[in-house]
Amino acid sequence: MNQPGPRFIQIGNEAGFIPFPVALNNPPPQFSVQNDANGNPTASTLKYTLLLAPAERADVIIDFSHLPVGSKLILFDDAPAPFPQGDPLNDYFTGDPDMTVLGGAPSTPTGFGPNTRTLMQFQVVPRVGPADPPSMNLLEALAVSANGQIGQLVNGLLPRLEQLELRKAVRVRDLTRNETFDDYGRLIQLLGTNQVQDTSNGQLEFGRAYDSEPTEVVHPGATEVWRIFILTGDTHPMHFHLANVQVLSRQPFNVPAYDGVPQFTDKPRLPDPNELGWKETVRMNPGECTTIIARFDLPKVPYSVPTSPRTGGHEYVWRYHILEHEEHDMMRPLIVK
Amino acid sequence: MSTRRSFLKMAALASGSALVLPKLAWPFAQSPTRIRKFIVPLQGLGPTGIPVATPDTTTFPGEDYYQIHVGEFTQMMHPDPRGIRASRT
Repeated sequence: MNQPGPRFIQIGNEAGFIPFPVALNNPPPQFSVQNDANGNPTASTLKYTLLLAPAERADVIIDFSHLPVGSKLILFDDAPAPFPQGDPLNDYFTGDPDMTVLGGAPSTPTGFGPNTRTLMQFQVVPRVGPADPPSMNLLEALAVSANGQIGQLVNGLLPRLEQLELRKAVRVRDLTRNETFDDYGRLIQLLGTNQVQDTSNGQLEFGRAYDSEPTEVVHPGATEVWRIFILTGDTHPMHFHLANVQVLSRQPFNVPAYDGVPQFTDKPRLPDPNELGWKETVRMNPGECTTIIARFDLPKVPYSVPTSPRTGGHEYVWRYHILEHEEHDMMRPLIVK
Repeated sequence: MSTRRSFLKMAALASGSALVLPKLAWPFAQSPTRIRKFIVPLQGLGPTGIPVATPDTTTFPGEDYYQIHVGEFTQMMHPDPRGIRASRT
């Protein structure tokens, strides 16, 4: 457990190639959740090899060639769930406590499930055919390493990805991710803007239901910057329909004091190297403002698409990518007109 | 009523949703026990696994033409839960 894994390089994500390969073969990470001055867990303090929220994907190349035949390796997940604070309810592993008296599962015996940590086993078998060309060495030379050091640049070997330009943005929107309780007392997740919607329980509530009046109305082809403030305790994978986006920065802010105007508590920091380029789903951490940029080009199709009778525009959505939250009711219209 | 900020405080004190949600159903509480790990290989690609789409290049010369069919097939996901087969389309 204290040895680094095999060479492990990411070349793509859910939106295609990333601009540089990223070397992920760190020693196993150590999770230590810390809270900031507001009591929010600071996900930025977490160390990880490959962090993936639901619906994020990674195309990776793993080099097993240096391992002896017969080696067995485990793809191990040590991310707490819900992320980043975790709940023992969701953690199943060999020899875990018997929870049957509380309505849970019995202890997991060695070699059996349920086990939420050991995802997959790789078995190294004798090679068939000639050895692979030394492309891994080239990838590694190109790669961004864990400390952010960019490798040797080789023209023509890296994907040419457009970088959206901040100066072309016609609008900056402040948006929020909220949590409250619905009419039945159930926890409900809502997206909203920075405009207060409700103060009836003595708190500033920003959340809006999906069928409320659309607020994210953009012009066709417009570039916009969205600053999304997470007012709740978990990391959220936000997913955008119509357009892929690019992550600009993450910055912590004072959550209890948030009244629509943020008080930032630290400098913004750049996205991880493997979050550069296009993204269709972006992790947004508790107590942080995640800033993204997008250009809302309508697809070119050889037929005409009528506009929505409800909104008069072309109707898309932006939403959460954990589906029980998205269905209840963490989704908002994205109108292009 | 708990609110956004009191939730945040509680979440900071304890663990995520555990404190505010009733524990009506724990994960895996009703799962079969004795499901062995690491005994089913990934299906892989090719004739014995997931079919790889191959283009028909003669019907429309110069173009890659694919015919994709949607159909039902059966797949043993794991042999241990007896009598359970996943049917997928």
